[in-house]
Amino acid sequence: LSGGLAPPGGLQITAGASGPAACPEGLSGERAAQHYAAIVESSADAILSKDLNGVIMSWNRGAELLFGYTAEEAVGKSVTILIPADRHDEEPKILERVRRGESVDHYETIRQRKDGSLIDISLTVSPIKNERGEIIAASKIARDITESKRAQARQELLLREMDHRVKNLFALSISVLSLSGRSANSVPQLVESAGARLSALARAHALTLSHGPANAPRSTKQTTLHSLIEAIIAPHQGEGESRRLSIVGCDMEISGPVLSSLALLLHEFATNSVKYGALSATAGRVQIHCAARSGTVVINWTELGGPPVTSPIGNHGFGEFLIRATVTGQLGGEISREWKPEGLVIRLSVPRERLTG
Amino acid sequence: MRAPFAGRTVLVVEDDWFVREDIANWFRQEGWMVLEAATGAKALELVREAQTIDVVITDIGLADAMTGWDVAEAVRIMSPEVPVIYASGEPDNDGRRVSEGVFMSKPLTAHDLLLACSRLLSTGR
Repeated sequence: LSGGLAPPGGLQITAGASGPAACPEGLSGERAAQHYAAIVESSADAILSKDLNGVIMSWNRGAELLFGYTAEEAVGKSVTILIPADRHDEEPKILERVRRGESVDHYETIRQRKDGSLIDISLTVSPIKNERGEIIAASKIARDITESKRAQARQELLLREMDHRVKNLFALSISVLSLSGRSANSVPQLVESAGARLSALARAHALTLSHGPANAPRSTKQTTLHSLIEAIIAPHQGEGESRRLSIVGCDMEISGPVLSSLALLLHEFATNSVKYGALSATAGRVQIHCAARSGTVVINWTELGGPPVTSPIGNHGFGEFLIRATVTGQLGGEISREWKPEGLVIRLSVPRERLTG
Repeated sequence: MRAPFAGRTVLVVEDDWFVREDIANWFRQEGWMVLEAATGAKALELVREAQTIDVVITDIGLADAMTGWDVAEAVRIMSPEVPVIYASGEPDNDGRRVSEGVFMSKPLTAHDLLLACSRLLSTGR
């Protein structure tokens, strides 16, 4: 066995103070020792033993793979070759526990490979006793937990982002409710308008969570212009042949900061159409055409088949205010509306960099 | 009856238009003068141009590279005494708060902020 893996000096391999390990059935003496040695040698975990002064006595194949030292290089050296300089104080404490007959279980720490790189490991150290029950060495099992640490860090990052996003969405919801209340004429109207706006926001933000396999963690993802429009108009969209809104033209990813604004803006277009425009009539249709040219994204919202429309006079409601302020303020764009006899045509132009971040 | 702090000026630094608009509406309704900025750069421009700013409310994440922490520090260089309220969904970072800076965690209502400003101007904390 490489590196003198067989327990030196006829040692019993024991599990701390729990007494000698049971021999496999039908095996005894040398064959049992070989059996255990084979288990150790084939383990993917690094398994080594060290004396009570911290000198390495045995070194398995897993240790070679994890730390980069061969058994010949490691055996006889101090175990401190594996310990980064800023953690050298750990070893005396571990040895002290071992001398007292105590184990160190699943201690998460950092060790150093032969090439100097650092690895996150979970460490279990247990005393090894001789036939008289005296503690003469320690076994050490090190498991590489670098990947699980990375996964944990990714999860924590995602949770922080979600926490931030949830707080901001609630803040936005409070503002939408408050602003809607300023132009509502009655409580039912406020409930209807604010509820619909919040629902549009919820649909928009649902797009930003990707849905992987059922047991995989969700992550954030980029939303595209088409998918956002599709989500916002969904309540007004029919099925199959009776689909009432069509989306054509170029598509692009849109950045998080403008997602809410664009969602609420599109919601106002759709809501106005349902109340006064093409979507108020059974045969009404809306074509939404997206084009990108010279750094500008142009969205043309064309209504057809609805009742004759005329320019609203003195419309100072929140919806109208939202449209103007969102386009010029949040999106840095322009909007023009033409109330043609056959239907309203909205032309929204937004700098591409604002939209895509 | 005239609101107690009517005529005072608040600078609202918030990148989300809806949230900023809601806050501005509440303060205007109470007779405050409201200066609005979505970015740190715009906020500092307003501070340089303004005759007086009585209180600053700033989000942490803004629409440009500056943060609310940067804005508050820069504002205090120009106006060392001005009260500052940080209003954000991001974690508080005590170490970066300006002296006597108040941190309020989102979500909160514009009315909460109005009360906090009134309290700051009345008591200094």
